[in-house]
Amino acid sequence: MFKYIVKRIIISLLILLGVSLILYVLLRCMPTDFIEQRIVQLKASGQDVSDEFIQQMYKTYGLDGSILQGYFTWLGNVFRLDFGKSFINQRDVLKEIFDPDKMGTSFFVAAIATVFEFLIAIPLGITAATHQYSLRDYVVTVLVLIGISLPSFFFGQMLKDIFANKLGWFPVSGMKEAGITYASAGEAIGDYLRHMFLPILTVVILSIGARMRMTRTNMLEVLNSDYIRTARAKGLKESVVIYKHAFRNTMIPLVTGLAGLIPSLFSGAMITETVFDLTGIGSYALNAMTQADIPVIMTYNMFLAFLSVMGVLLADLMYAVVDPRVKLA
Amino acid sequence: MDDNKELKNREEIDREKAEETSPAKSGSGKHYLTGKEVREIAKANAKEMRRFEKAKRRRVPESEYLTEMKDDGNILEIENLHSFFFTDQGVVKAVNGVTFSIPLNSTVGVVGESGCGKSVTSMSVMRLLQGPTGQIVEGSIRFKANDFKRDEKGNFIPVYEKDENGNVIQEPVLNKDGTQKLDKDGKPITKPKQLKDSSGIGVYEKEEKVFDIAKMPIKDMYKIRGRQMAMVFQEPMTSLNPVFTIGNQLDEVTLLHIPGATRSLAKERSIKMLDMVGIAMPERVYAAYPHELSGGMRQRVMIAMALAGEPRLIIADEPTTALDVTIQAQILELFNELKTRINGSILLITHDLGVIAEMADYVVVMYAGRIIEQGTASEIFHHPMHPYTQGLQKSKPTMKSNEEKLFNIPGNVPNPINMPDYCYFKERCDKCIGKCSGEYPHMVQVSPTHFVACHLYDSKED
Repeated sequence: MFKYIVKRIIISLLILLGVSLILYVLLRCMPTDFIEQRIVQLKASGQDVSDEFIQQMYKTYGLDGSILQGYFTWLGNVFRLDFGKSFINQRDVLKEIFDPDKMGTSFFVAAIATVFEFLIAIPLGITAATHQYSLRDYVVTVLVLIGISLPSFFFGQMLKDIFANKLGWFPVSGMKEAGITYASAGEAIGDYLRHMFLPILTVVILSIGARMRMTRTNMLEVLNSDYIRTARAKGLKESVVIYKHAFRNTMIPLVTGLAGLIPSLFSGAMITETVFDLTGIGSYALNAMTQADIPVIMTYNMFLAFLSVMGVLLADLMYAVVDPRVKLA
Repeated sequence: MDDNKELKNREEIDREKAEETSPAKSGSGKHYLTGKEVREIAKANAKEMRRFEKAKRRRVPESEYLTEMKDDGNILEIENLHSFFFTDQGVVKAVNGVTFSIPLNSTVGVVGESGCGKSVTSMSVMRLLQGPTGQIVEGSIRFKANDFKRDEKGNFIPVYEKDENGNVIQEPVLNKDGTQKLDKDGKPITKPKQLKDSSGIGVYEKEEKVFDIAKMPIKDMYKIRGRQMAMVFQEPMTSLNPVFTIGNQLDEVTLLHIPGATRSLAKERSIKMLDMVGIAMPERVYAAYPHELSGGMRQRVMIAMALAGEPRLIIADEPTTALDVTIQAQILELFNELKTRINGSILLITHDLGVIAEMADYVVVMYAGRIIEQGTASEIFHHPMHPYTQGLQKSKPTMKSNEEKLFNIPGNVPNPINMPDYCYFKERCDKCIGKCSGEYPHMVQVSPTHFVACHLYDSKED
């Protein structure tokens, strides 16, 4: 087991190296870069920009050499745990990305949304499966399909319009009420939660569908298997048949799916955050992307790649835990 | 579940359709369903299925399904059983009016080719037909259960140990630390001593009741399944839950059906059961997962599981089909031993005539959802009357025969959705007489125990 994990970690490191190379090359191949955008801005504001100044700029930002040169410089710095500074505001990348305001907000939204997603989607999937082709099944299926099909920018905007603009139950956007000093910590938390409610609701409703469909399909497959018939033939109650014998088998793909969700907890919901004006990591990364802020994008994406690789490893380990037939070697 | 069966039926339908479309046989009108027809069928089915599913779930008092046996020597009487599958292609009449009974302490074998309704009959008896498509539509299944007697509160009534004078023996009540419990006056408190059987399980009063299983709501089936009748399935490889240990799955039966069973008692009993079905190292198998065992071992585990509830009737649905011949012999021997051990009966379903010959006291031959011949094993084997039974006998490979090709009955089973109204075997029969185009033949009694449904044996006057 230990040997297996070490082996997998070594392989993961190689994968990460490959990912970083591809990422860096792609970023450098973008039709525009940070300097170019900056020059355009300067020129637009009527300043004279000399060629020397441009060369100087490229040199300062380390973009003067070839792509491979740039990559190895970046890689060498990373091995010295130097992830560079953001092109945009010259602050340390690590501090920028792991800022509790950014990563924290996104993680809070994603974590709460994931918990609710599972709490709602799994029971829905199970009832839909155990009442296959009944009215309940059709209603649940149609509702979650609507959820899957709605684009987040539209659905988020709609919720905002109904609950914030028309009904006024929730604030329209942002993280906290502007210009208010809180009397107590409880009030501050309450205000924060009120601001987070609509974004979380959007993410939950949009993600329930896929998870519910998956649970339903798995459950149906399990319920049609021979060992469920055996369990019934023993005289077990239907609830025990479903929640003990069938559920453990349905859980196998769900648990491994949970491990695969780890990166999405930290990646942030780009569009939802933009709609609700949250300073999450998603909208921050989107901004960095449009401005070609290479150190930020590299670090952000490498962090997600790392989480993905670890998530896959965790999923495999989880498989061995929930399914006795799987042996790791 | 019964999708297996259903699939088989579907296969048959497909086969039938393929045959119809072949140029040699075409010309008999259309052989497909239009979308409109399918929708109409589905609509009609949905209505029917909803009605049956509702009946399964409703709560009814016990009196509504209590009944009487026709013959007290029987443990199970199936009468005019109809089990249908409501598919989108039409209603598949998998079991279409089956009547037979199982006497106490005997083995009844049901034979027939794949898809003739053998398994569906057994599933109907256990009420395991996969709803909503599979339903018992008509008929009754009377089962003599030996259930625990209950007092007014619904509790079991214990049997107390008595001394030679017929007085109930009192035993002292102990505190947790093993000292005697005393009442306020300092006198030891006593309670009546419950009778224990050889394995230390408390005995409760039992009574015989006859249930009509076809009318029972599924909730009430829980006390019959596993405890009164148990089932051994044909697929040992997939019939055990892969994520639980053998022990866990075996213990469940004891914990469920033996009143007052504890985990340690369940484990002890499970190991005993494993030992009983001839598993070496039962402790190791107890802790193993199903995938760690061979097919034969798994089938033994299934049998142990069936035995654990001490049932009166074991339904073995092709228990040896998936096993190789040496294991098959061992398993069959095990079943033969079992019958005396459980003091009950076995319903053995198989398509293997050899197995039937070895095991069964009575044989029921099924064809296309109906019984075409039934009698004692010797009658069926030595004097088969129905042309189909005779054909089955001839198609059995033997060591002695020198013929190059094995006999086979020509043709196919008729489409289970569109059954003809004459004898189902007519098209394949080589002994047809004029009457065969008439109505479906009635059961004719040819000896006190031997019945056959064939016009060849109709008495002269009709």
